[in-house]
Parts: sequence; C-alpha cells; structure tokens
Amino acid sequence: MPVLNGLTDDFHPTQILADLMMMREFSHKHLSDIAFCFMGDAGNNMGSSLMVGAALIGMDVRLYGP
Amino acid sequence: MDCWLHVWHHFETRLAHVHGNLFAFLSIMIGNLILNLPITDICARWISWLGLVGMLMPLGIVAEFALKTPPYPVIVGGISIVAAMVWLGIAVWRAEVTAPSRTYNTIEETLMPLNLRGRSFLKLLDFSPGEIRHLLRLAASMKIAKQGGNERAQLTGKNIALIFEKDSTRARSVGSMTQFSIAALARRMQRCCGVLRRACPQWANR
Repeated sequence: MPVLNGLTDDFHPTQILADLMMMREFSHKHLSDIAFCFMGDAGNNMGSSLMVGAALIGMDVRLYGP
Repeated sequence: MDCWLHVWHHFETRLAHVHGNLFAFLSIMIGNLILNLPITDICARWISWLGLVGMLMPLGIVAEFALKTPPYPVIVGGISIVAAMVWLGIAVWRAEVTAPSRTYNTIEETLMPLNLRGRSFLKLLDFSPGEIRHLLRLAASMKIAKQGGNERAQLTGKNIALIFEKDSTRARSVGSMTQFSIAALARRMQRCCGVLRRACPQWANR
C-alpha cells in the first residue's frame, strides 16, 4: 500500500511539488533556470524540503531566515 | 571619416552577397547557441536583437549601391554584429561560471515510460529529477483536463486513509477535496491520534 507524506516535522514534500507546479505555471523560464529566495523559518520542514526539491531540479535557491 | 562618408560607391554588390550570407549564418548560429546554452533571458534578448540589427550591413551596402544612400546602416550593422558576438562570448563564459547547469533527463528516463505504481511518496530524495518532472507534467495535464471538463475518475474503487500526526486543517481539507474531485470512495480516519498513540508510542508526546 503506497504511503504519501502529507506533512511531517522534518519534511513537507507535497508542498514542494505544489510550489514547483506554481513556478511552472507562473514563470516563462525553464524550471532549472529559476533562482529564488525563501524568506521565513528556514530551519523548519519547509526550508529543508525546499532545499532538497530545488537541488533535485537544479534550481538556484537561497534560504534566508533567523 | 567625413570624407569617407561622402565617397559614394564605396562598396560593390558582391560585398552585400558575402555579408548577407555570413550574417544570416551568424544569426542562426547565435539563435542556436542561445537556445542550447544556459544564458539569462535578458542577455539572450539583447544579443539576438543586436544580431538582427547586424543585417543592416548587407542591406546598407545594397541600399548604397542601388539607392545612393549614405553608408550609415553599414556602420551600425557592423558595430552591432561585433557587439553581439562579443556579448555572446562573455555571456557564455559567465554562464558557465554562475548559472546552474540544467539537469537533463538521462536516455533511460526519456525513453522508458515512467511507472510510479505502488511507489510511496515519503520524501523527495526517493525520486529522481526525471520522476519529479514527470509528476509535475502529470499534475499539469490533470489540471488541464479538469479545467476542460473531461476529467477521468481514476481512483474509483480505491480507498484513501488520512492519518494525522498533528492537526492540519489545510491537509485535511485538501485531502477531502481530492477524494471528491477524483471520485474516490474514500474512508477517512478522522484525526486518529488515539490510533497513532497505540501504534506508535514515540509520537504520543507530540
């Protein structure tokens, strides 16, 4: 039985898929040409998952947070 | 400069042929390079415009020969094509240093039809870039089908159980919406903290 991770304390992969989808829809650039900065609680699950997802696609990602 | 500009018939038509062919070839080459190399969009736009303006040179030669116009377009075209080539060189050189290289799919990923049946989606690192792109493409096509009104009920007969480690209104509502949307016969374990507490005692304190 396949298990989908909807949200955990460490990672939030489905949110990253939704974010990549949003970038695909709203940017005319190739997905791996996009450079973006995430400002917020970069040490949380969103920060780490965003880093992993962007690195897999080959994006330029910067995390900025306290 | 001044007297050079006033000498008519400086060029002959053969020069226009040579430069027309050469610059057309250069423009095609510039376009090809811009398409295939990781150059930023602004640079690509300027370089291609400069390359096109370069076509003023052969046109200016013809115009000077046929219409006796002053050779200003020749100068502008020559300068702009040189600028385009120099800028392209700099852009390619800088692109290799700064821009991240594109992750292309391997041949296997391109040729083999992807099959994610039975795969769990626990973390992103379990998936290859090609599989993640495949998921995004699939989601885009499903979204288009939904907007076009020809959505297929692909989860009929399947059950979905939502298990919550912590309360998340968004995840719960999105999950429910998905089930209705794809017409799945869903059975939801409503906030089964009790179940989790019995199954996984290490989560009980959270």
